[in-house]
Parts: sequence; C-alpha cells; structure tokens
Amino acid sequence: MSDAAAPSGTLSINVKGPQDVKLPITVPTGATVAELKALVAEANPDFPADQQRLIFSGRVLKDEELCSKYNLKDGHTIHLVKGARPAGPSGVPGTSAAAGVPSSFGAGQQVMGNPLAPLMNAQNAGALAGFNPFAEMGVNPNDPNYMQNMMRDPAVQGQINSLLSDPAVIDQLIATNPELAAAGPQVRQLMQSEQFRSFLTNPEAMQQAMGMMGGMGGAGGGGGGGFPPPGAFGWGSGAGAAGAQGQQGQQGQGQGQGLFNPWGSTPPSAATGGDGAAGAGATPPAAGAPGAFNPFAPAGGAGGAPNFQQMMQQMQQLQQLQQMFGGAGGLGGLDGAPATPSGPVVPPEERYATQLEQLAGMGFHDAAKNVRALLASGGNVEGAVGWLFEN
Amino acid sequence: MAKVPRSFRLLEELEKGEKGIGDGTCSYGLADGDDILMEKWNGTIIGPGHSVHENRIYSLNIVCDASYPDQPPSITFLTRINLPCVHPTTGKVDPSKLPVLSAWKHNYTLETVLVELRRDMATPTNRKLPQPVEGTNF
Repeated sequence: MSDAAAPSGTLSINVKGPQDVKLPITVPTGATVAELKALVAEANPDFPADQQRLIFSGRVLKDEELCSKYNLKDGHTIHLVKGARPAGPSGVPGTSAAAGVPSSFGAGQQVMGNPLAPLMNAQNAGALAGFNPFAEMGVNPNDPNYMQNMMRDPAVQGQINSLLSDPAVIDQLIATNPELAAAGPQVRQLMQSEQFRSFLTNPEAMQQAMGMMGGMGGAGGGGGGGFPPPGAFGWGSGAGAAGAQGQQGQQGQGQGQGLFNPWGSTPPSAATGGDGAAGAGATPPAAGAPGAFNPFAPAGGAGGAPNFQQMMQQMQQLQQLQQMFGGAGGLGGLDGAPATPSGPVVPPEERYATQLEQLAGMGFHDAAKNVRALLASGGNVEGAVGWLFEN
Repeated sequence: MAKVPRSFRLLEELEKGEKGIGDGTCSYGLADGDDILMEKWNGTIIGPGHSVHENRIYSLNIVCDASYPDQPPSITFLTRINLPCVHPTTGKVDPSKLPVLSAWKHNYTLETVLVELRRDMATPTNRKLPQPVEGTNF
C-alpha cells in the first residue's frame, strides 16, 4: 500500500455514487480534486464535474486541493453525491442559491435566475394592454396546477414576500402605473399589508383563484380583456375570496380549504384593517353589469387593458353583488362552485399552533411577533423565519 | 467475548471508513492521518431524502477519547443544523437526547452513531424542521 504513493504513480480508487453507481477511477497521485472530478465526469456523464460533491473519510473534498492531501490510497472509496447545479456564474457548489433569502430585489431590477423575473418585468413595465405575463414563461396560464406549483415553491414565496416588503419596489410599481398612483396611499398600504402578501403566497387561495378563472372564462364577453398582471390578479381573486366568505368580516373556510382571506379577515394585528381598507381603496365609481366582472378572461377579449381602476371597480361590483345575493351564495353562483358557509373564527394562535411551537423551538420567543410572521407567510414556517429576520 | 483493545477497534473502523463500507450516506475518517491516538475524527452525513436535509452534506467532529469504545464518542456538528439533539449555538450533540449515545453499547461504532444521527434527521418530527441556510457553520 505504501509504495502506491510514489510521486509518479497512480491511484486506483473507487467512486461510489447514489443508486449503486460504482466507478473504478485511476487518478495520478499528483492530481487535484478538480482533476479527479473531471475523470469521474468522463466515466459517468450523469455527473458533470460542477455537480459532483466528493466525500472521503468524513471530509468534503475541495476542488483546489491535491488528492494526496486527503491521504487517498489504493483501494479507498470516495462517496459521490450529486449536488445542485451552481445557480449563477458566481455560484459556488454547496452554497444555497435558492434559499429564498430576501434582499435580492433592489428596485425591481431583474435578477438572474429569478423564476419570477418575467412577471416582475410585466409589473414594472407598466405596459399592460393585452399583455400576457405568462407567455414569456412558456406555460399555459390556464393550467390550474402551474400557479399552484409555483406558489408552493418556498423560493418563490420568499421572493414575493421580499418583493412586496420592499418599499422601493412598491414605489416603482405605483410610479409606473398612473392608475395606481391616482388611487392614493391606500394602495401602498394595501400592498404592504401582511394579508395581501400572505394571500399571494397562499397556494390554496391561488388555486381557488385559478378555479375561478376557469369558471368565469366563458362569461367575459365585452368586459375586461387581457390577462391581468400578477398584482392585479391577486386583487381580483382576493375580492372573490371576500365574496365567498360573506360579510361577516372573518376568515373562514372558503370552499373548505382554510383559505386565507386578506380582505375579509380582521385579525387584531391587521395592518390595513381588513374590509375597511378594501372599501377605501375602491375609490372609482362602480358601474356595469355582473358580466363585466371577469378579471381572468384569457387574452383576446375586446375590452381595453385591465388596470387597477378596473380591478377596483370589479371589487366594488362584487361587493354589491354580494349584497344582492346575500353573501356567500352570490359568488357561489358566479363561481359555478357551491360556496360553503364560512366556518367559525379561528384565531391565528390556534390555527398556527404547530408552527408557533416550531418557531419557539428555534429561539423566536416573541409570540405576538411569531403570529404576525406566520400571518404574513400564510402559515409557512420558512417564510415566517424570513419575515422575522427581516423585521 | 474478548474485548478488542481501543486501538485495534479504531484501526478497524478507520479502514472501514476509508474503504467506504456501508451505504455511502455516512462517511468518517481521521482528521489527521498522523494522529496515533486516533482521537479526532471527521464525519459527514448526507441528508436523508424526502426531508429538508435532502442534498445537504453535514460535517461533524468526532472525538474518541481514551475511554472509547466503553464510552460514547463526543459529536459536534460543524455544519449548522436545526435538530433537537444538537445544541443550537455550539453544534454539540447532547448525548442525553440521542438514544444511541445515552444507551451506549460497547459494540456500537462511529458508523452506528452517524447512521443514527441521520435517522434522527429523517424522523417525522424532525424531517420538516426549518433549517438554516445551507453551507453555514457553527
């Protein structure tokens, strides 16, 4: 064994990977780990060198080190793990690129590798007429699973959270949208509200919104055409959720899904005061028939660009509708789905009991703050941790 | 049964670690190949799949003092991890919270400890615990 370490010699080692992958590799004794990785990649193209993580003797081998530094000898076995692909040109293997760490959004400029980038551009550009933000992404906006999957992704949730918590982004969003600017300070307040953010990152709420989109698609006619940008999308569906849950101003079980309703709810820590803010925000006068309420009509409708004002009108129409139909029933009919009566008020402390326990276990002892964090993250512990670090 | 002296026992474990016997999810070896007392060891655990630890590699320090294997080794995580048996700031594994250490048996090995730690990460209560950013150390 000892004579195998001659400077000009070679080492015969085994590289053991997942699923019984076993590669006998012969490497020159003076080789670096990076060279070893290249040999492994040659032997098995499933493992590109930049995705390999080699472990020997309880250590992760570093690219720049010589194999000899790790006392590799003939017959030794190295474990191979396939790591994540480095995220960017500067990505270092082993560091997390998509951990949902906030701070990547300065003033809404595009960030490489950001799955939401096309969406953000759509928002910031202010060019909304007939614009389908999903077209760029090569996905079918009518696919009910797409949005849901995207929203389930904690990275995306984190990004939305961080995006909307950044006042600069909201400023820009408002500045590029005359209608938003005209609607006054409530907009900013609303966008910064935890409820709004948590709604955007709540997969169930989004799912219901997608469901509504499907249900309402046919009824659009001459109403608002074009696919609204994500922000507006959130608004429309939020209004829908408020309708589904009646006027009691409580958060309940919209369609039995434990849907979190940013407008209907009035938790004690609410930043915007629930329904009040929604009402105040809906300054433009309401007009038009129920048929006009179609924020989700697929692109191609005859109407003009959907804008904030329109969304607000629709919201108010919905409120009127809601009154007409007597609360929950109204939306149920529109939605094509039976609306379940809203459940009893469950305080967030109770709903998020397990999550609160976890947070406490992690050393976040401010219970009131934890509740707010969970509300902001829609019950997602990781999101809540992010929020707590931010605030 | 005859008791294997500490050094023979550790040499055996060292060879096993270097040859990579086992399922490949845990690895260990001497921190310093010249350490004739074989006290300080490195260990790695590849995070179990279907858990928050998936695709993460955890590095640990293992110290086998003179009383090993009659007494359990002391384990310290180098990679940050959120696990009930691991001290949140020092990374030290609390022996009283990990059955394999609290009920130590002479024939347990370093591999036993690492495999048990990995199993602990995959338990239903632990596998979804929120974890610190990957790649940070204690």
